Amino acid sequence: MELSLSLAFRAALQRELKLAWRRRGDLLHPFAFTLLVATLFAIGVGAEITLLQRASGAVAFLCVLLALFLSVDGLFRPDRDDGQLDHLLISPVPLPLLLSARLLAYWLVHGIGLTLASPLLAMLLRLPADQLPVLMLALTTATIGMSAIGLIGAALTVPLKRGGILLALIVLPLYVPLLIFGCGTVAAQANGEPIAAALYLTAALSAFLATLAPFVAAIALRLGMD
Amino acid sequence: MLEWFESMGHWAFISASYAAMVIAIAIDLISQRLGRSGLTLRLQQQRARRRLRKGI
Amino acid sequence: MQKFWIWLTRFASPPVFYRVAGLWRPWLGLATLLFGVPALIYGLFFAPADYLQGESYRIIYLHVPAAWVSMLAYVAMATAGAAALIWHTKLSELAVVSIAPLGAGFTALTLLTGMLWGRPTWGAYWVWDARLTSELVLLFLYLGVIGLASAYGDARRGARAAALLSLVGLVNLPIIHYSVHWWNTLHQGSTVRIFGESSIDGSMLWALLASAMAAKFYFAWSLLGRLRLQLLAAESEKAWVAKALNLEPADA
Repeated sequence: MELSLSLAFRAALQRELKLAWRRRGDLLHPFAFTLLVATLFAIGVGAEITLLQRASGAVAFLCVLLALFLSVDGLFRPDRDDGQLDHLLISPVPLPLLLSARLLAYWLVHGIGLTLASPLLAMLLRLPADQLPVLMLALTTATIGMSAIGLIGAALTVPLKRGGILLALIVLPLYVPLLIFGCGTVAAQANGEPIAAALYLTAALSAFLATLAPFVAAIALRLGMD
Repeated sequence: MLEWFESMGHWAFISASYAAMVIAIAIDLISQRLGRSGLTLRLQQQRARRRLRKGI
Repeated sequence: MQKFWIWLTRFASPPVFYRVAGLWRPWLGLATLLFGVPALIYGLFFAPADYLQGESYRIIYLHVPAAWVSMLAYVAMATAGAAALIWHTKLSELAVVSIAPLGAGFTALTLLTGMLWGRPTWGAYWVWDARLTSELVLLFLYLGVIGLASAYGDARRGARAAALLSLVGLVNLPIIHYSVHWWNTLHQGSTVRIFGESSIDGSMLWALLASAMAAKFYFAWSLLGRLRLQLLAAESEKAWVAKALNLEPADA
């Protein structure tokens, strides 16, 4: 039994990653989106370097957060449209297990993907060089929690015709603690303080959310489908 | 307008807060009343329509 | 214990609840007036002015009770949501749907009075104070629940989704509150604290507690009214609804 569970997990993970790989061109969109937001911000604020530099950590973090949010609606919607979601629901494998595979794949593709895009973002926003590794560390950690919240939000809104602004209303307020601790990590580095406290809080929160989210999302999917 | 309001001092802010409470309560009461009468009307019409369809 | 459960399930049956809630409402309304009117009149005209903030602290008699109810309402909503998910009772689903707009109203009132208090005290309508900020996030949580409940075509499924979301929100609420507090101390260590930390004079305290009680009674009164209305709408085909609204029976 244990073997088949881990097999199912691996199969689900492989499927998601393979799908993402086939549509790898689509991954450029969120990447371009982050650069676009950063550009708009810089243009809006003006080319005054000190102001831009002071906000750069938080702005880079926000660009990634928004780009990640945009991909949340795609977590279940394509599968619902082609009937895959029903198969997921009637599968004998526990649904939370399959959902945690999906969460992991989503984080690997979007969370890590966008984190890897952040150096370019940092360059645009003139982020001081010593803050870049901290920013990437904070993003890697915080995107786990954000993906988990996205999983819940997507599961709650998948029966609706479109997620749209309602999805934002559900997901974005829940991002607040991750935003605070994530940006707090970068800010601590900028102020020359130890980053451990904020980073650990981000990590603890992410771990908590990632553990809880598959179960909550499973309940939400079952509520929406029966 | 805002400057005039602020120049009235503390009591302007206090009375604005109390006015906000009164307005909130009024909205609550009116929405409950409207909800009830709207529901009664809707059910009455629904029943009348059904009776017509059955009778004729 | 079993007797209690039987009593509880009987109480949750729509016609019984409708009748009992109708019996309770006048008393709740009376309690609201009995606590609220003297407390607000005393607070508005007779309580001594605060020696730090002068007269404008009198907003406390609205702001703090509304803030307490806004949080209490969220807990009540999530509790009803848990009941809705566990027992699938119609009453608790409707309770989630009825509490959400009411709680959002109390939250909005808290924010509004907080802003009106902030201007004479801090010199600005909005300060990113920890409590105000988490109250603002609370408003967004309420709006999410309201939006989700109304977005579904099927009301019961919408109510269940909203119930689940309210539970997720309840788990996150302490985290949000704590994180905002942490953020606040990080960014502005020296804001003037007017909520909570300053000690309060005894003569102000009883009026504050009385107005807080009044706000809670008002919440219960309004909630029961809304719940009764929701019950009538949800059970509109049943005979007891026709009797309650003085309609002719459905199949005459």
